[in-house]
Amino acid sequence: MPDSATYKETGSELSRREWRWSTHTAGLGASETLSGQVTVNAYPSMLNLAYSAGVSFVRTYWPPPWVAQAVGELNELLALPSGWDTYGAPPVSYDAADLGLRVLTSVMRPQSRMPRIGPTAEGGVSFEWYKNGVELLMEVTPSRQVTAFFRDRHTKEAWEGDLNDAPARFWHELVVLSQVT
Amino acid sequence: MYVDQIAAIPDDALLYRRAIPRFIDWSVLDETGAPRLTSGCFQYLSEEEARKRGYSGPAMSIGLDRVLADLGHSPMEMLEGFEPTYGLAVLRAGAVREKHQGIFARPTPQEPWHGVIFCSDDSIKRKTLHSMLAEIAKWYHVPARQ
Repeated sequence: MPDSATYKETGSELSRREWRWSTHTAGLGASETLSGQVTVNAYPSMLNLAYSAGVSFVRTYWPPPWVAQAVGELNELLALPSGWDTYGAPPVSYDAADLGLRVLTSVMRPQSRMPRIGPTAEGGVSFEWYKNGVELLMEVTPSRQVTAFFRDRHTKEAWEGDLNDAPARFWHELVVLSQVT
Repeated sequence: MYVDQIAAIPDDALLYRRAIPRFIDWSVLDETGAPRLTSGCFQYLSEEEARKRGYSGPAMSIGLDRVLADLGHSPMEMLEGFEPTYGLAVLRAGAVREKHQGIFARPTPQEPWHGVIFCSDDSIKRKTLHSMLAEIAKWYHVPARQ
């Protein structure tokens, strides 16, 4: 489980903010890892770091509490055998899990409520939030497509498509549904 | 091409679908204390996966009540060999057809009661469909809590 994250900012890369989850590989098989860089764009408190030209520095933070849980659940998905759904579904793709973690990190805030993390019938991963008849879903396919969906059971309003094309209602519901209550 | 077997599977027929623990939401309970069936329970095979299995398009496996009965089985036969945390959801064929889906029997050696639901209207988006099926599904057998 990840126990720390390292934030690096250097003179030559002032515009880049990278988090390196130092222990993402814990719990994975020898042939699979979730290591790598996770780009974070939802940490306004981190934007106030002092910067001195020409000086590189590294600061270490505790990652948000949901990160360890998300990584653990994605690892569980990667361990699912073929046919995990009892209907012959293929195993979860490493690429989907890897990108899924990045996408999740890009939309979650430190205090966000964890979505339900699940596999998809085609070997991808899904993130689902649900409350009071409103369902919100993000999915990553094995071919690394990221799709989004929301549906309000009361009004029957629904939308699905590429995450990049998601309407304002989707982002609004994401804020509402991912709030800790 | 898929053909909706309306005569063999009339609107009052019941269609069963196994629900694995990961797709059962125990944080949302109905008035009977049963957990929420999520959209994940009702995922169709992708076009690619469906074609690998010889289907002509996206589809979802189900168990057919009449075949189960003809063979002298209870629907619970579909949970044979699975952990108690697996549940069994049920859909009414007519309600499925109202969502522009078709149904046909596709027996397998392991599951002679096996059938398939397919989409007869390509304008319906996949995740919307999964969500609609989750909404109209009922529990036939509520699983043990994990």
